[in-house]
Amino acid sequence: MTEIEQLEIFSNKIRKTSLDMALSAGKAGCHIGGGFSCIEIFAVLYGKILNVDAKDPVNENRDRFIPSKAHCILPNFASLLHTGFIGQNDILSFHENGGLLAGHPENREIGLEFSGGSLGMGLSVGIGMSLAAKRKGLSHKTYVLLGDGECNEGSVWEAFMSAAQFRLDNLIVVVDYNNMQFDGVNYVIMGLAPLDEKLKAFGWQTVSCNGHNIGELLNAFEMPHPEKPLAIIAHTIKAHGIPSLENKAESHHAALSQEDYDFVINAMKDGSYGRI
Amino acid sequence: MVEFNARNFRTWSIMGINPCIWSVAFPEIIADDPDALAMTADLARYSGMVRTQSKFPDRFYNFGIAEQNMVGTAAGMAMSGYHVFMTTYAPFITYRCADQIRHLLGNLNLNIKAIGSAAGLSAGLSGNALLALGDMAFMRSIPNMQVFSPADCVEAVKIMLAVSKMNSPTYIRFCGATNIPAVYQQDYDFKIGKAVVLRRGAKILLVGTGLNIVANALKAAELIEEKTGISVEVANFHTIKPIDTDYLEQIRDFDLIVSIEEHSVIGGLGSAIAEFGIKRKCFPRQVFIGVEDKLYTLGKRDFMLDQCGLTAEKIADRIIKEIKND
Repeated sequence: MTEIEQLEIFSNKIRKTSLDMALSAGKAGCHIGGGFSCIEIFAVLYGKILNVDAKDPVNENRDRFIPSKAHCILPNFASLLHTGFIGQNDILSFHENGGLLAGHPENREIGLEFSGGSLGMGLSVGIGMSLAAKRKGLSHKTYVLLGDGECNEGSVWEAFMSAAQFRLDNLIVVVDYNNMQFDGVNYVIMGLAPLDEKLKAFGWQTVSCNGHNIGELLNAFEMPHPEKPLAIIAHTIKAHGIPSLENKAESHHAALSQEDYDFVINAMKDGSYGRI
Repeated sequence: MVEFNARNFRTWSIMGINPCIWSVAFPEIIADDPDALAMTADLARYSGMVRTQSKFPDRFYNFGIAEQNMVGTAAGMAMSGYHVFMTTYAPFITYRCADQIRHLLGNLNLNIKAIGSAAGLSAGLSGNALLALGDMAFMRSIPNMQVFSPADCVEAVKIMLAVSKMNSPTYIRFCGATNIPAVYQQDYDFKIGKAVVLRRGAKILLVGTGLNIVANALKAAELIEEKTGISVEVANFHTIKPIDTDYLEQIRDFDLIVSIEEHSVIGGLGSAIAEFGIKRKCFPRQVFIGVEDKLYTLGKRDFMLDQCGLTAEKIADRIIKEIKND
């Protein structure tokens, strides 16, 4: 089996768990849209890229992963389940009062480096971790997942500027560019394009790819970026693969129907997933 | 090793507050702590950091005029085990990056010290945009945050050294820059969260905080006693949070409490005392002297303090009037 095939299987596991979580949240709903736009990104990070180990969660030289966009708890917790950081019982309590995973928690013991939710903070935190690694002579890398909507925040641009200033070649940003934010399509609400040109002008190495294509994502992570931070602009689709929610702003926080659940499960089985 | 003696106290008073933080206290901290770092947002020169920075360049980071990113980066470094002291003007280290402070320092309880310079009315000549009058109110409302406001340069050094030993988010604010009168001529016992009684009295209690302000309160106490013969106690609250409840438990027999601060009368030291007192069956009446909830005519700090009734003479006059109205 090729590496890509293995990671596709892994991404299906993450997707299946994400579906289970979304269904268990019931009518209250959860962050489906921004979760399903970055399933493959999580699969590649946790299946290949990140050097993290549930048996040694606070190893000083572990890679750091900051899910700054925060609205990705479905694939995030699913990834932690399938890499042994948390258990099946934990996973379904994410929407319960007082649950281990309630409210975007920070808990290094279970692989959660940062408590997100207020957008535009995570990249700066990642920069701090990258600077700390340089000071300590540690070889680990820091990965930050940003949303494209999140990039409206001015603090993100302060951080973009400083990461280049500090020549953080140990920092990698992935932008989940699903073209949507809470109120609608991002070029209607607040245009971000051309993000790659903007980041190049800010002194970053950039690479764009299809964020649902495992092979393209793997290649993007291979992009050399000496003396510079790397930004992977992953073009994605909000609520990817879910018939009634795909590419709709309402998918941001929504309830998952049994019909959609069954559809995606069947699509994964027959290999047609992502081709609605 | 910093020596707390009368000669140094005089020297520090002449140096001004910023060099005391960065040329006296901080070198002492980094000598003991290889993980202590300093950060600023394009304010190294104003803050008096340059001398120490040139000696220990690897301990300093400058973020340009980008406070939110500075706080976020401080958080990332604190999560990696570093002890960050970060500074810029008080309105920017509090209001400008309020959300980062609230979440990263407060909710995540990170070991970061935020130092706000030119707080209160210090920058009156530069305009309302530069004033920090509710900074303590905001910082006090953040979970886990400790809030300090030194009475003079000596106390500023003591606060820096004390908080450097604590693993807790912290805000230190100071008003003014130079011409800081010494409140302490001799060494004294500084404890976090413990008020210092500078003058014993029986009837009126002046509770002050901050550079110049505590000194003015001491002078006001003398004026009141001279003019009225009424016995006045003065306490210095260098720690606004946690507030010294042990001391506040002992003050019910005063006729009047007067809180004095270079801060809005909403949410600062006065409020912290009132929040305590209102829960007691018996607690003295309180007068709040501070910056009222309005905009003032702009000018230098002395001019601003005078308008707000924070000079020794105006404090004394106000209190004498209040007693007559009783």
